Amino acid sequence: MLALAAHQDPGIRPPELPTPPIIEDISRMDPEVVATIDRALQDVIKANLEHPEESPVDRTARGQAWSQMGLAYEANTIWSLALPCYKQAIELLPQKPEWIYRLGVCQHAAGDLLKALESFRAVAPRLMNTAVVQARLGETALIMGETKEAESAWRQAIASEAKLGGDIRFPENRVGLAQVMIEKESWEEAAALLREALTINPAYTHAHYLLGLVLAELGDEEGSSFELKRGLNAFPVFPPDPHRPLLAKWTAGFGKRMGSIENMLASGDTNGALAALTVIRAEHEPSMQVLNMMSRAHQQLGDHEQALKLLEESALIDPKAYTTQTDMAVVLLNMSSNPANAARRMELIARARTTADKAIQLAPHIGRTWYYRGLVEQVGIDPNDPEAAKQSGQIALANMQRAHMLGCTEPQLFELLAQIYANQGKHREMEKFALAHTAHSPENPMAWVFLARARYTMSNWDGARQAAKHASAVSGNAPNVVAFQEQLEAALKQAGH
Amino acid sequence: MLSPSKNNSKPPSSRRDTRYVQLSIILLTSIVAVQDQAPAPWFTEIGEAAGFSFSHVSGARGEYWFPEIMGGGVGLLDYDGDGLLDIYCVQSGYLPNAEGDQPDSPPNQLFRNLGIDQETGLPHFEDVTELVGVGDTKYGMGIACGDYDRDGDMDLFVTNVGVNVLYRNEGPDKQGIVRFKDITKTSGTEDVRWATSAAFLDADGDRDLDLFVVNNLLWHASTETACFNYFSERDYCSPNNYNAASPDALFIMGRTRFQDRTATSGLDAAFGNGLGVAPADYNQDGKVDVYVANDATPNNLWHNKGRGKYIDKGLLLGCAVNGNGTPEAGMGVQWVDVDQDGDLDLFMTHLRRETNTFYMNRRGRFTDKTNATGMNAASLKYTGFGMGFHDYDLDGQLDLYVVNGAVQAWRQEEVFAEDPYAEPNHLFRGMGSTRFEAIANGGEAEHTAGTSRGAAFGDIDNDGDVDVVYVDRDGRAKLLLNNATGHWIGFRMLDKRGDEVPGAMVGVTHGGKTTWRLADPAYSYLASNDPRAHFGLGSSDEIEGISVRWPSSEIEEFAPLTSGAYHVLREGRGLDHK
Repeated sequence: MLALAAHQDPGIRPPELPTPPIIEDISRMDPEVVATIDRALQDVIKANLEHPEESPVDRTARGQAWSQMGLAYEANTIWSLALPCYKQAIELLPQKPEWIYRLGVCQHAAGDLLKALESFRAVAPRLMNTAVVQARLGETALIMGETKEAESAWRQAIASEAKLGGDIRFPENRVGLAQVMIEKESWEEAAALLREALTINPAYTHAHYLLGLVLAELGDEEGSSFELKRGLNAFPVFPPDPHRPLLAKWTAGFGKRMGSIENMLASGDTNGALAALTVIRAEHEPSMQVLNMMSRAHQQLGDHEQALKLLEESALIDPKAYTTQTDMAVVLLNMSSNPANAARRMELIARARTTADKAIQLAPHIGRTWYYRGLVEQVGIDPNDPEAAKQSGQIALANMQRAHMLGCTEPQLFELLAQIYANQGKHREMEKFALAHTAHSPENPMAWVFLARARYTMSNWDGARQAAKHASAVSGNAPNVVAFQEQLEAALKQAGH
Repeated sequence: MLSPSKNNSKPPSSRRDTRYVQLSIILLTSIVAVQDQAPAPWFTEIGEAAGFSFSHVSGARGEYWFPEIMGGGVGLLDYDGDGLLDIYCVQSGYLPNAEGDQPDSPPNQLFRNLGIDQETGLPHFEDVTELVGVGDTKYGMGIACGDYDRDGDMDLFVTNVGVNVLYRNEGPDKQGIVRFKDITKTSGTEDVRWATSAAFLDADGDRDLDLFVVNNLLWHASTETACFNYFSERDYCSPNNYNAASPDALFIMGRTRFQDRTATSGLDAAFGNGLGVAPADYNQDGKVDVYVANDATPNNLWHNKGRGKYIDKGLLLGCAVNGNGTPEAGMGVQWVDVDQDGDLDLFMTHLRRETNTFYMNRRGRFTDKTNATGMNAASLKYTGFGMGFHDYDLDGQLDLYVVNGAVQAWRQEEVFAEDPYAEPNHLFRGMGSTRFEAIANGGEAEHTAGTSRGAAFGDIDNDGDVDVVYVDRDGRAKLLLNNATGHWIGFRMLDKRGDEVPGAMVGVTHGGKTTWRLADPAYSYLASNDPRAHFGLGSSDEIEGISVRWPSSEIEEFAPLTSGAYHVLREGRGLDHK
């Protein structure tokens, strides 16, 4: 940490220039974060040494270095130290209001809403056409109870979209203004804004939740319930932040890098994720997390053999990690379903059973371990041996029930439980878990289709119709789901219902 | 039992004169010049001077095991029936490692309230833990108090990481010493999961007390994982890192023992990382509902369908997640009529960067009206745990006290203490309607900070104002004596049999306006509180009417009673029993 040390040596920095804030104790911090911050610090020291004068050129050079220092701290969530950096940047670069904006963002993140509001108020008139600035002002003003100011800011955020050209509309701005309308109890106007936001982005959870609240106020109980379930786990989102790429550049650390690789995997960029993981694997000591994520990437690419190898290596590094065992069980199950492995199917399932058992031994308190044990039995059911199939079904049910009681949140748990109960002819339980599946995965049209089928089996015609209708709505009227709804309707009509 | 006849109050103008006479002289001579600028502190911390000497031990050894950052609890109960609130502190201690080995831990402690000491003029306490037999040494969390066996004395339920403990109050022995007996094994309440808050309530409407236990997550040393704070340093995890939320439990009182009815009651249908609990009949249908504050998962409003059957209506009624649809880190919780319209609103404390959230009850549906409270700027900075709305300054408006303490180290611009989790507490003065303003130093003379967790509220010296007891993680528990003077009235609620009854709503009409308070000890965080209803009366001491909505939802009117005293209101003994 050369710069951190040099920075504290008064001999090599001009004494009259302000000193960058440093982290006093870096001993427990991630070395990657420290190295990144050190890089920004070196730039400030260099700017101080090379541009010590008050000329516009020197001030600009120093101001830029300070602003990058602020970004480095902010990108690594060290907001308290980003604040003085941005203050310096504002002083040295008065012509650049964007740093007042960043100051406000950090003040907000650090919990100082009064100062954040001051900053956003200062910058908003200077960046009238930057939607995110107006949106930040609107959100902060609303939290502080300044409803009128919030309304005006959100309206300006919407107005600013026209300056972007084309047909750009940010749903976030409609949702923000709708929140003001909710505060004012102007329900109709709020509903209109939220519906507009949802036409722009139908999967916008925050808008769904707020629409659920508004529909309840307007007396539409059914619509409210549907929207509230779709809106669960929402969080406020702002229009695009122009500094996002710069912040990404300064983001460092094992945890944050692994987080971004997780996002890459989730978004389908498997090769990109694998490349990034390979870099981390080369830089770090052997790590269970890295190997397990690499295994996931290979699974996504369909290379189960390689995925299994990596997990076996991971289990040697950390033999107590139950997640490695559950991941291994999943890989083995996937391998067993490959027709190329038909001859080895029972052997692979037996191995999967062993690893799932090991996971339970390692973490009997964790519902997921029981879930995977149940899954192994469910997948391993042999339809040619009714007696063994019955026994496997019972073991699967017992394990799934245990998983449920232990708070397992695997998305397929409820569906599997419903299926097992359906196989056993226990219709009431089947419907209970089919309903729970829709509550847990309201965005999944197949969950609604499953519920519709379950209700049809139970002769609950209206309930089946309702679920099929929801399935179509959730799927955005996907042809296969609409076809299911039509088939159901035809069957009901034929039966005189 | 708290005695209504024991009225230690003096006329408002003369209260505390003897107690603080020396202090007043010193203050007068030293700060007379700045008297106008320095408002008198609302509270004075007297723990050590009062012989209340509980020190919390989290057992933290640098491994960042999650339960270490969540304890300890505190309860106020009159265990010996002398009319004075005693203090029970729940100790954490040392967690068992992955192999199940657990170092010896210090015990929970019970401090008996001996009344006002003639020399100091302060309440004073003695540690009676060993004498009465309530020194559990498991890794403790919270406490619930109630007379579950209806024998006229307070029993104790202690929650743990591991098996919870039910202490039955056996009453005085031949020497006149009240003793407790650990009846966990035979009580039917044995449960090995990590429980946090708990409440005694009549879940099935049969007029005896059942037990609701909030569980957090299924923790075991082997499930720990490495987590990092905002500074990329090793620190405590979020509960969601464990992906192991645990259903809450309902134990229904049978003839002689409790029965676990969790599965048949419907409580297994939804659950989260439970921390706070508050029972109340929010929709006034005569059945006790239960609100559970969950940590980083949606909260549950367990709507009572009757006969001990529950359904979670939190999401559909607008109080599972905040106004944005975001689950918050629910810690402390209270049902309280903040807007004084006769129904119960909800208030919850949360993590830093989340507001403490106010859900206004609007005809049985809840709306997040936090932005209108004026408390956001203060509460977003810190992590709130124990909390209590009371009229601390007796001006007729509800105020709010919140104890704070971080769960991840946070290098703020302001440094409060060596403890990286320490934060100052908050006192908010009620300004009328639903607006509040922060009072400097949390109402104390000097700025203090700690990693505060459980907080209990009650009138410890029976002088007519509400005092505060709270536990700081790895610190000394504090007793804040309220310095208020003014008009007040208080009530102890008894059912037709003469048993203490939680869950009654009391309405006092004065100055042409009726204000309502819920009399129930179960609120805040890991706490049990003074079960009495307390009212500040502002400038008017004239009581025009008293109404009670009993847990059955029957409403009963009582004749106006004199202010400046605690009174018993007994079901069926009012003016107009309906």
